[in-house]
Amino acid sequence: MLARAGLAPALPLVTPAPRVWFNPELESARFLVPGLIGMLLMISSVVATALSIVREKERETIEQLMVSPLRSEELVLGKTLPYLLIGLATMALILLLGWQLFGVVVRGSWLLLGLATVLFLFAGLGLGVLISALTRSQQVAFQVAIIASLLPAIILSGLIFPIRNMPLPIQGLSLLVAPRYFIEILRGVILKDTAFVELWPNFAALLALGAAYNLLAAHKMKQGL
Amino acid sequence: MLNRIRCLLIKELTQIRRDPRLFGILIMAPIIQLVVMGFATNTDIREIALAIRDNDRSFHSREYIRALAASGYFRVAALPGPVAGDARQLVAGRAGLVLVIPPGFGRQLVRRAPATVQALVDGADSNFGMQGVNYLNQATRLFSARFAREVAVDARLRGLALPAVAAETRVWYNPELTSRYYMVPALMGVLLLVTTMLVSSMALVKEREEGTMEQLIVTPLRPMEIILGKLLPFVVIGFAEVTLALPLMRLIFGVPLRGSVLLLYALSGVFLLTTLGLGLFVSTLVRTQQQAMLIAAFFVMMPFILLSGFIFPVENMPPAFQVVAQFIPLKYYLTIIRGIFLKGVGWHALWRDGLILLAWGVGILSLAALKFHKRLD
Repeated sequence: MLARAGLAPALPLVTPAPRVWFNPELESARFLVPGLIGMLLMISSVVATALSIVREKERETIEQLMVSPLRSEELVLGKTLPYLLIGLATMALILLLGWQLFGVVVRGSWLLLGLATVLFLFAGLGLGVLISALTRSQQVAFQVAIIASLLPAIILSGLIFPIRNMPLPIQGLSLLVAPRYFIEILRGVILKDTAFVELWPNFAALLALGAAYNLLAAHKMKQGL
Repeated sequence: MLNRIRCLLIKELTQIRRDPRLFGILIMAPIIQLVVMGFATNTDIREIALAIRDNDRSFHSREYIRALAASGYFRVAALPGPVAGDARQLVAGRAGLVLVIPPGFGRQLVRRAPATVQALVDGADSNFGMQGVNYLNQATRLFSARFAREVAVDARLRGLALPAVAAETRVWYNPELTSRYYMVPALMGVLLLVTTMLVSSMALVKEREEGTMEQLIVTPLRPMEIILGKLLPFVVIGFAEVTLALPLMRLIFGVPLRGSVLLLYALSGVFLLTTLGLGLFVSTLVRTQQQAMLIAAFFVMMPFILLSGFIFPVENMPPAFQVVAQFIPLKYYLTIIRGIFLKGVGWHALWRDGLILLAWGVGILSLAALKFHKRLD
C-alpha cells in the first residue's frame, strides 16, 4: 500500500498560506470596541440636545430667547457647544477603558481621531437640536431621538451587520447614518493606522451631515422667530 | 375603583388624542423600523473584495483566478502598479484579502508538485477575516480537486491507484435566511421594549414637570389606580404593535410562526408588564423628562439590547456578563419569541421564562407604586 502510494505522483495541490493583519488572533473585541464607541457617542450626543429647545417651548421660556439679540445660528451653537466638550471627555474616557480592558490601542494619528470626534459630535448634537426644533412636546422629541439614534447606530452603522450585504435601498438609507462614517474612521485609525487620504470621504460626509443638521435647525428656529 | 380608573383613562386618552403626532409615532415608527432594520440584520457575508497580485502570469494562474471569481464568494480585482502598494489595499479597506501568486506557480502545477499562494487577510473585522480565509480555502480546494482528477486519470492510464478521499460539503440550510428568521422576531421584541418604555418613563414625570401632578394627587385616586390608568393605554399600544408586526413579519420576511399565537399574545402581555413597570419606575425616580430620557436610554435600553442575546449570544459572554444577563427581562422574552416563532414550542418549554417575566413585572410595578406613594406624602 505504502509502496504503491509512493509510486503515485505527488498531487498538485494549491494551498493558501494566510497571514492575518491588524488583528492576528481575529479577536472580535478589537473589532467591536471602535464600533461601540461610535454607538455610545451617537446616543449620548443626540439625547443630550434632543430636549434642549422643545423644553423651552413647553415651559414657554422660548419667547425670552426669541426677544434676546441672539441670532438663531448662535442659539443652535450655544445649545451644542457645552455638550461637545462633554462628548470629547467621554471619548477620552472610553478610549482609556478600551485600552485597559480590551487592549485596544490607537495605532494611528490622535489628531485624526480628535478631528473625527469633533465632526461626529457636531453632527450628532446637530441632529438632536434639529429634532428639538421640529417637535412640540418633549415626549415626541424623546421618541424621535431614540428612533433616529439608538437602533440605526446599532443596526445600520456597520457596527455588527456589514453594510455591503444590505439590500441597496437600505444601503442608501445608511448613507444618512452618521455613525457609519465615524465607525469606519475609528476602525481605520485605531486598528490599521489608515491615513487621511484614504478616509477623507468619511470626514467629508460627517462634515456635510453636521452642517446640514445644524443649518436646518437654525433655519427652523428662524422660522419660529 | 373601576369607575375611577375609567375616568383617568378618559383623561389619558384625551391627552393622547391631543398630540396626534405622538400617537402616530408610537404605532407607526416601530413598524417602519421593523421593516427597515429587518432587511439590514443580515450576518451573512458575501462578495469579499479580493485583490490578486499575479506574479506568475501563466495559464494556470489565470485559471486559478478564474476559479476564484467563479466561486461566487469574492469580488476579484487584479492589482495594478508596483508591489509596494499592495499593503495599502488592506489599510485603506479597499480589499479584505490580498492574494499573491508566486512566480513559477504554473510550472509547479505542470510538474505535478504542490504550490503555495500567500494570502494577506484584513483581520480588523474578525468575522469577515475568518470567513474570507474559509472561502479562499474552499475555492482553492475546488480548483485543486480538478487538477487532482486529471492526475488520477493519468495515473489510472499508467495502472496506478490513487488514494482518493474527497470531502463533500453540503449546506443544509441557507445561512442568510436563518439569520433573518432569527433576528426579525427578536427585533420586534426590542422595538416593543423601546416604544413602551419610552412613553411610560415619561408618564409621571410629565405631570410633575407641567405642574399637574398636584391635581392628580388631590383626586380620590389611589396610587395603584393612577398607575393602572396611566399604563392601560400603553398596553393597548403594545398589543396593537404586536398585531401589526405579525402579518408583516410573515409577508415581508417570510418568518414562519410555528407556535401558538395565543401564547405569543399572553407572554407579550407579561413582557409589557416589565417594560411599562420599568418605565414607570424610572419616572418615579427623576425630576425632569430629560433625566428620564437619559436613564431610560443609557441604563435600560442600551444594556438590554446589547446584553439580552439580541445580537451577541449570551452563552458567548464572559461569566460576569452572563450573570447580568439573567436580570434582563428582554432576554427571557427573546427566548420566548424565538422559541414560539422558529421552534413552535409550547407552554411546557416556556413556563420558566414566562414565570420569571411575570415575577419581574409584578415586582417592578409594585416597586414603582411604592415609590410613587412615598412621593405623594
